[in-house]
Amino acid sequence: MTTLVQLEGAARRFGSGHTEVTALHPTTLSVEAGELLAVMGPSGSGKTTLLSLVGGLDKPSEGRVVVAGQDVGRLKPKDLAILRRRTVGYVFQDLNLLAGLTARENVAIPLELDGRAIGEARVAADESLESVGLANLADRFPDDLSGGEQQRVAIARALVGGRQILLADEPTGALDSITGESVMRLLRAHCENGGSAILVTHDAAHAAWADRVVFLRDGRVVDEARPAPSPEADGGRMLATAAAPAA
Amino acid sequence: MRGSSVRALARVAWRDIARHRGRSLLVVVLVALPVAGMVAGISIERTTRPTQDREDIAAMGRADLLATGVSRDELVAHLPAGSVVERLAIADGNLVLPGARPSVQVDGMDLDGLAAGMRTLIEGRLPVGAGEAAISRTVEKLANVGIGGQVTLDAGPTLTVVGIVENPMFLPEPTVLVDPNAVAVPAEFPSWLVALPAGADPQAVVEATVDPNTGEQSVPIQTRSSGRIVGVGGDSTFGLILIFGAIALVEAALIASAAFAVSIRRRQRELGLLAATGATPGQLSGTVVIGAAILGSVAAVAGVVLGLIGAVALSPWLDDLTQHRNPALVIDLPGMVGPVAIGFGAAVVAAIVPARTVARVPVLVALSGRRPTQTRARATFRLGLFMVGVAAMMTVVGATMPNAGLDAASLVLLAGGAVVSTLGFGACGPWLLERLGRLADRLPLAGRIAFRDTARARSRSSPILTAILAACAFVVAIGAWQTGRDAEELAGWRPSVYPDQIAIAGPGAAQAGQRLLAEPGAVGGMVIPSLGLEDPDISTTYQLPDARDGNGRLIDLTDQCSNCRPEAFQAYFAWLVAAGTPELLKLAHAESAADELRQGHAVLIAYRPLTATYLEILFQRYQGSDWADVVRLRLPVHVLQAQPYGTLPQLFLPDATIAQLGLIERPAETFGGDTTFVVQFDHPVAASEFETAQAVAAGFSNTFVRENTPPVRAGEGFRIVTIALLLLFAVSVTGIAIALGEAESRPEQRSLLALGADPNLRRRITAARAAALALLAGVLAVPAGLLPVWGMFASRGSPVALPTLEIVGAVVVLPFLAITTSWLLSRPIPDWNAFRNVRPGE
Repeated sequence: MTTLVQLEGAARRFGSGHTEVTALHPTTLSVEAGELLAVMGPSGSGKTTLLSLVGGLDKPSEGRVVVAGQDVGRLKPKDLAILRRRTVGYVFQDLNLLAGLTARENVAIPLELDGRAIGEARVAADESLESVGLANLADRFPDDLSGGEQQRVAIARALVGGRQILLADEPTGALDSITGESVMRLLRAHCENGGSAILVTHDAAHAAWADRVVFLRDGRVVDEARPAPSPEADGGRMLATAAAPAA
Repeated sequence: MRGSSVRALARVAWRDIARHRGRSLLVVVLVALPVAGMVAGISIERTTRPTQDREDIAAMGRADLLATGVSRDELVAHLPAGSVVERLAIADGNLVLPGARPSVQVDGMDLDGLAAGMRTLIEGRLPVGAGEAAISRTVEKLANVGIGGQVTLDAGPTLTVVGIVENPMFLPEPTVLVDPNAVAVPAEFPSWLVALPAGADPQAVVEATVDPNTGEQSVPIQTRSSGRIVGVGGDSTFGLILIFGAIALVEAALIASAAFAVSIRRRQRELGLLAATGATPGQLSGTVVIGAAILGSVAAVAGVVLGLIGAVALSPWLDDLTQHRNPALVIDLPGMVGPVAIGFGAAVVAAIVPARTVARVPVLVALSGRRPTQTRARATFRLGLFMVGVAAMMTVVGATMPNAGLDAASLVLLAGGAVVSTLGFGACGPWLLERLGRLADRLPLAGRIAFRDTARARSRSSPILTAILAACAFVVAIGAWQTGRDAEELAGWRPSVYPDQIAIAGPGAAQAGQRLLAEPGAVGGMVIPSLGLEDPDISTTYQLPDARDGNGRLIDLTDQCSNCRPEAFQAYFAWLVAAGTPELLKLAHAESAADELRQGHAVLIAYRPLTATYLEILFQRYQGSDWADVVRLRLPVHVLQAQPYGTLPQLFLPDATIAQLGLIERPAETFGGDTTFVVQFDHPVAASEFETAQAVAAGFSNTFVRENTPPVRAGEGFRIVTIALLLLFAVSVTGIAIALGEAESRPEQRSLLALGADPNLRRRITAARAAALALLAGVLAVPAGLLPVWGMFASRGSPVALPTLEIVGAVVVLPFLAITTSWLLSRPIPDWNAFRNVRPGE
């Protein structure tokens, strides 16, 4: 199995001296291709910090973070940006889509930022929207979409261009259970296709979709578990496998 | 609303003001500056406007009466016993200086007597006797002489300077003050200052000089009040200050409106919560309006303080600026009510539209933080087109009515048309912004995001667009006015002679002309003669009653006739008449006229397209109360087209007619009363030859070479300054718009960073936003500014000219500067950690 994400004693501190705060203590963690990792913990436990380090949005204060074979701490800002365009996709709970762009245009952004022609980018965007079942809403603006639809557009954007690693920070936090489940199916399907995903969530039911759950408290990994497949989760995984197009 | 609810709303408004100090300060500054300008302007105007008393003293010192053009004996006969009469003499003179004879004003008045106050002694003493004088600072500098030195007047004695005086109403006046009792100042009209004995009524003295039959005064005497000119400057200046201040405040209100719109957008959830807890739409609007009222009050007070500080700071230079002595700064507190009220009102008006928006947003939409659905902009677009149409009509009516451009009604229509035109184009802005957003599909990402955002945030973008548009339109209109006037002047200009000729005028013209005949290329020349009658009491008129212009319209010069009855018809006429000698015909480039003259026809040299069939010669003598014909003769006329106008003869008469009418040639007089000698060259006159002629003419008293070049265009320096000020203003406003937009764009920046955007994408988006606003405003400003001015010029048949400088400034330079400035001042997307506290919806 290929390791797509590897944290080796990675830590993140803010401030200095008596005001120093350790958001994440030295942590060693890895995520394999095809694995869905859930990260759980109370507010302020370091979940978002961990996600920021993996996504190249932040650099570790010590240790290493290796994403798709690249040491994030050694990359220049330009290379980190390229990493986020081509390798890592981000999904937030909120503040996801650019309100002035249509669904198609939002999905196409990473490709356009990467220098692809507008037409080519939009074709790829349409395909990605198709994969999340929103092809018919491609011309809608975010204000005209429901919360769930917006989140699915965000996932389509995170997946467009064949990105391997998906980072989702409470993607179902603002959604009802049925919509949330549909989002989890998409994440599961991505992993079944060989990608990997790290999901930050408060919802145990959604964490049950993961292959492995890591618990954080006060910036440390305090526990790790492999959830017993629940009927919903199992059904979800089976459904996701059936829906996933052939690689 | 009840008092408690108003207090609650005021508390909410105040908290918002305190939380968003930057935006609050922006609104305060925008309103305070024009208020400060008005307050300072009013204070300075009140200070520098001479009071009636000062003007009376300047005109006649402390005298009760002023009499002019009458002898002393004649005057005294109309005065009561005990009146004091003093001579007042003011004449032009020349100082005798090495190589120069500068003009001065020679004053003969007793400043210790009735003329006290007309001049002020500032150093030394007043002159006594024939050999002394007091001079002004200007003469002191001209003659480089001070107290104790000597000055000499042309045709006058040498005088010892004993004092320095000044005219308090005109400081630069070059004055030489002499003792009126010792020096006879050769004033053209003798003047007298009169002090009446106690109890005498000056008005009664004046009325006693009026002939009851004619209603005219037999002796020209005036009192202190009868000589007054009704102040045309005073209150109209006050009004102008308020008008210009109000215009500046309209601009400020537009920008402030954008700031209020941004504030409301950012507080949308908070306002939604207020609504959810029971606030009515009126109460929600109230928070916005109360906030604006608070800011308006602060701004108005700040403006008054700033204005007074500015006026105090400027007061030491007022005398130099106004060129007269001014009293201590006058602070007109009642006069400040206007600026304060207008400033306060502008702030409140700026909040009206955003306040209405707040009241209309559904509660759930507000709570969700989503941008409310915007209404389509088609309605305002239609309104804008309608307003542009109305503006066009106002301009045409104002430009075609009688006394167009001169009377109040015409000016109101023209100025109103300009304002309505600008607002109309501004009203079209929202629809155009909407279009801009839709057309952004194929733009690169930065441009697409910028244009879509500008279109979506119409409540923020539209007022800014209108503010920049109005400023650009104003400058374009000024430029169009100046270029139009230049074009009018150029179209009406005619050279005085042909390009291969030089015309010298003045008493020494003949001698100077003879000298120039020796210059290389000079092939001939002569004094221009004219024909007239020996009897000076007969007036001669040479008119063409059926003269028609190039469009076939009968030419009526009634509007150029100063004493014509309104219903009279004034035909085209010529006044420079000569015999058609071969020499003169050659000079006038009218050799072909010889044949016509031999046939007994008159020949008219017209400087514009003209046709006529006959000339009517009219000699008249004034008898009794009207003109009586002495001779009325008609003869056929042949018209020749030529360019020059004013120096060469316009009309040639056949010899037989000249003899028949008894006309004689007078070589010394032509139009303007100067002898004119025209030198003919065999090539177009070069600048160096013109300068040589000027040097030759300068050797003769009052002799000069007539200019033959087109009028110099109005200084472009003024236009460039206005364009520069416009660019400064417009770029600043664009910067404010960008800053307001940035306040809403933090979530967008976070998303873009997470998506792998180059941090400089933010700068490209900022530059694209600036480009969208500046370019749209600049393009709309061109028709908005041109429409009223062109309408005016076209209506009176004048050529219209394109103010290229201003158009390039608005359409090219402004967007370029806006893009460059916003790129330089904007920053890249910050580090991810800067977004750690970004809350949803902010």
